[in-house]
Amino acid sequence: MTSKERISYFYDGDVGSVYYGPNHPMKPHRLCMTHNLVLAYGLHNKMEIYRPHKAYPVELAQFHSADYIDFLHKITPDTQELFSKELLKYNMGEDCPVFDNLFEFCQIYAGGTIDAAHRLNSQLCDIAINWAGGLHHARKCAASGFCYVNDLVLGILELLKYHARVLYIDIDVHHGDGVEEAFYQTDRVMTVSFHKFGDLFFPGTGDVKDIGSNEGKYYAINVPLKDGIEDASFNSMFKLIISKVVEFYQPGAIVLQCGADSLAGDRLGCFNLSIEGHAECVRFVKSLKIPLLVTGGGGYTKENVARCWTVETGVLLDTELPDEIPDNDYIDYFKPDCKLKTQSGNNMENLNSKTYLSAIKMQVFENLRNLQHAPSVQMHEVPPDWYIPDINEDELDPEEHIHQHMQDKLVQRDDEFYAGDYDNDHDMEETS
Amino acid sequence: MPKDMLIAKIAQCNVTHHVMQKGEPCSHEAAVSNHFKDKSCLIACPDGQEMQAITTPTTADNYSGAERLETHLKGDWNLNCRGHGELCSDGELRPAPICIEGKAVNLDRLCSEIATCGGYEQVTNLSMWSSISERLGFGESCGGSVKVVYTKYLKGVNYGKGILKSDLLHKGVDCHIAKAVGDSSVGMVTANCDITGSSSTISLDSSVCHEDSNFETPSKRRRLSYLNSSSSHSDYDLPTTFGNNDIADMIKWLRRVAVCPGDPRKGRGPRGSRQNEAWVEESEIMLIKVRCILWGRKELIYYGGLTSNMAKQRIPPSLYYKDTRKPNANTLEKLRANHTRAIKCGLHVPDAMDTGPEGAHGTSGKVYASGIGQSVGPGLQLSAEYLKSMNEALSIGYLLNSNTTRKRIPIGVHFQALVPEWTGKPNEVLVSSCGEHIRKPFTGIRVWPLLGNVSACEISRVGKGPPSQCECAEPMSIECVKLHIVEKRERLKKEIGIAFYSWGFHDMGESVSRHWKEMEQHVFNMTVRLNPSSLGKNFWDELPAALPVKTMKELVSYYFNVFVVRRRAIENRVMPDSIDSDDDEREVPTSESYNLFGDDAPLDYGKSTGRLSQLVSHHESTGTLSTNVVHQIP
Repeated sequence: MTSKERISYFYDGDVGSVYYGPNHPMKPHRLCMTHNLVLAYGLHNKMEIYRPHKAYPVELAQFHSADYIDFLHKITPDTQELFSKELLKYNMGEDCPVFDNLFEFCQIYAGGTIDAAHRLNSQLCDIAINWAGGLHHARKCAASGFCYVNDLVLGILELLKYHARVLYIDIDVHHGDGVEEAFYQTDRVMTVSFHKFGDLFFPGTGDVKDIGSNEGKYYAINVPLKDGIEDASFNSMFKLIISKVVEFYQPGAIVLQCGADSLAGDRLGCFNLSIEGHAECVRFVKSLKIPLLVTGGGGYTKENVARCWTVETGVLLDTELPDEIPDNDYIDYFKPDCKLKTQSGNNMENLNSKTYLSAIKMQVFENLRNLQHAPSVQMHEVPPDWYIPDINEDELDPEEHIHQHMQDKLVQRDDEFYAGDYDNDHDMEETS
Repeated sequence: MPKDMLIAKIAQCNVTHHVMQKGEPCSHEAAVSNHFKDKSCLIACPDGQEMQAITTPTTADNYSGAERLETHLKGDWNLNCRGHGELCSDGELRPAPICIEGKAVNLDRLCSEIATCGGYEQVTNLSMWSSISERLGFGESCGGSVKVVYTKYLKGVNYGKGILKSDLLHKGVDCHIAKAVGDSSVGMVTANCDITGSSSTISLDSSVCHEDSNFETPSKRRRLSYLNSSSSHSDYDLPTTFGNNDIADMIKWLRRVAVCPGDPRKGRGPRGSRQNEAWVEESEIMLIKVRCILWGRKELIYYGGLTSNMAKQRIPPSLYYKDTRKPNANTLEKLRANHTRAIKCGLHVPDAMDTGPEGAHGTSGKVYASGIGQSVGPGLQLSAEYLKSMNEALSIGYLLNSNTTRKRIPIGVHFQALVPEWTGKPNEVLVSSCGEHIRKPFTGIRVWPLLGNVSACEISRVGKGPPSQCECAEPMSIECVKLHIVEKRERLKKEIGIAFYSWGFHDMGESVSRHWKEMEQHVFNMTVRLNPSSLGKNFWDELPAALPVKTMKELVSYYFNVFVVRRRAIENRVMPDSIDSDDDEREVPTSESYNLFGDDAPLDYGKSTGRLSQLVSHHESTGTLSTNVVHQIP
């Protein structure tokens, strides 16, 4: 009954006691609940569980600027008043408060993702899970959106030491801007993010037209969605796009960010996915049989986060879990229904019309077509020649290129039918 | 938007007046308005038609009208700057007075006249404006103009005290101060030259921010405010002080900088005063902050990807200008390119651009435009990194009023990861730590399966749900649930052995309360209940003081493992349809609902009875487990 894949799961008991502060929606305690539930279901018997090392500052500085890491290292709630200037500079304060053991927290979750990447690199496992990781907003020199250290970037950088190409997939309700930005100009990482876009939703990036630049042009894919998307359309979009991407790009490893705030009823999210729909994405990525690093991410309704990630752990272990939640220390959180799989909520109106979704899909495929076919499997580990003459001919003068490029965007934007008021949609729906 | 209306209104009102360049200082308010007036005039003077074009949109489309006006203002910014530079040769700013028919209006007198006549309403009702106009020395026909002057400049100003009360007009104008200020703060010489007047206190209260609060500055948490309309708007409050600095200080600094644009240090106070370098820097930060709060969304719109940088001060002020350094070829090239770009887009660019900066410091004179239509003083060389990222991130879309909500991805060494070229074989270089190379990459410490126990763990108990029936006297009661939790826990402990502790299971759930005396628990509960968020209180502020023996970590652990779980246990039974255990401010259940459970107030637990207590005392012989028995709801 054991799955063929070898699974490594990372957990550190210290991470659950981290507290961002009163009324902060991010509650690392959810990790505690997740682990508890995973064990209550007995899933530990099907995998190896590791305690990650605490990432050294020098490891974190592989991506982040050294001064930022230094600052994270030295700042404490008691001393933060002395550093008001730095706090502003590094964008800490409201969203990203300074709390006790902040740096240790970063070290643990980043260490988990780095260790997971190491294990994948050394082929010690096929799938590595670190629910504590997935803090995808953190930027090179600043914190952002509850994220301080971008463990995903660090993990991908590790994977890049052994793999020519790494695919990053993000199903958090927020755009994976930190990761996209970090690899915006490289073709060695392809980022695909499915997220809510528009209405000034955080972080504001992730337009379908953001496709990367220079070497990385066409190697960033954004699937902007609107409020209330439900399982069927999300899963069909996800499968279509990911299978195309994998076919084109042939990644050596995949990093999957499973932010649970895309679930229905999330405190910050606005999608209508059920846990089953969310987990379906994980199931699909697993079925690609490519070394896989799975991380957590957002998720602001604790009990649903624990449910979701437990189900997904089960999915990765090929284990169907009974719907009735077994007794555990936090059973009261899961009451009164005590069921594992939440229903797709109907509290959000689905604003994604078929026309809108297909327009997005078309645009994404259009960008994908511009992407040169990845080298064949035989040449898998050979550096590919990424030069694409017919696309880059206007790039002789970089300034001119940027100018042209932006003008193109501007021109295109004016008549974008899906960015408008959906006039077309209404027509279409009435006739259909 | 009132603010947009305001610009247009100010502009309109300015058309009716003629401006004189020299005169007495008047109120702050008037000066600011004059500031706009000057510019409108600069636009309007050559061609009355154009002014018309600017003012008409007030009715048709306030927003775009205001936008256009602003753009126009920006275009003429440099001219202004120079003009005022002359005006302010002695270092003391002297704003132009408000004039009607070429004669300056004595605002003081106007104010007192109106006051003696019983105030604005009274004067208007009795149509006394023309007589007031006469009393002030203007013709009877100027009554309308006097009224406009009063409405625009004096209404709402508590002039006698020299303190500006914030009414709508003020706010609008203040916003523009901040904006103008903001533009100068990014290292451009476009300082607002004519902010002057008495040392007025600008009460930039939070309501200003509220007006602008539909602009979301990039914050993830703000989402909460949208979803939860009942939540307070405290997020938006603009603190009146940042460090040792406040808004008044910032304005002071700004005024000085305006005299000598180009060098922020010129804003320092006299030697020996506290207005030193640090003060200047604080002022700069303050200014960005004000700008960020007031222009939350606009920043986002205008500056694309970089906005958040400026709004959130990702780039320290020192990055904006590296003074006394000659621009390198790269920078110049960049600027030239931007110049070309701007011309292509049909933008007005001052000719001074071509000459480029020469001297290290200068107080006035040559300015050249960067791609975003701002001017850069020669003494204020932008650092190359900043320019690079800015130019690429701040696309020209900003000026072209293109799709405005689009945020750009910033490009540069400060943003992208360094990705080495793929060499075709694994890159074995590992990071060095503490000078020592790590020979083997970290792969984590195995906790499970336990060492030497690999095969024994293949117990197929995966995914077992709870037993369908239990032998408890009251199935599904809180006591029953607790019993099963303890049973399960003990089983798990036996099964996973030492991993139980390394995963911190000993500090999970109800067992955390073992380390808490009943009195302490009581204090915790009472602190939470006595500090409900409905009263604007936050129990987290009080807890450390109420329970000094407990560390923050212990408090948090107790909160999540015991307090919320217990509360949830009651909620599950009382109000299963409206549970939100992620809301720290939740105030349930009420004391009334406790009475449902009988005579014992559930918060004063203490009776441990039945099998549970036996089991507990058996397994957890150490410590005092408070079992918190709440009987099942009938």
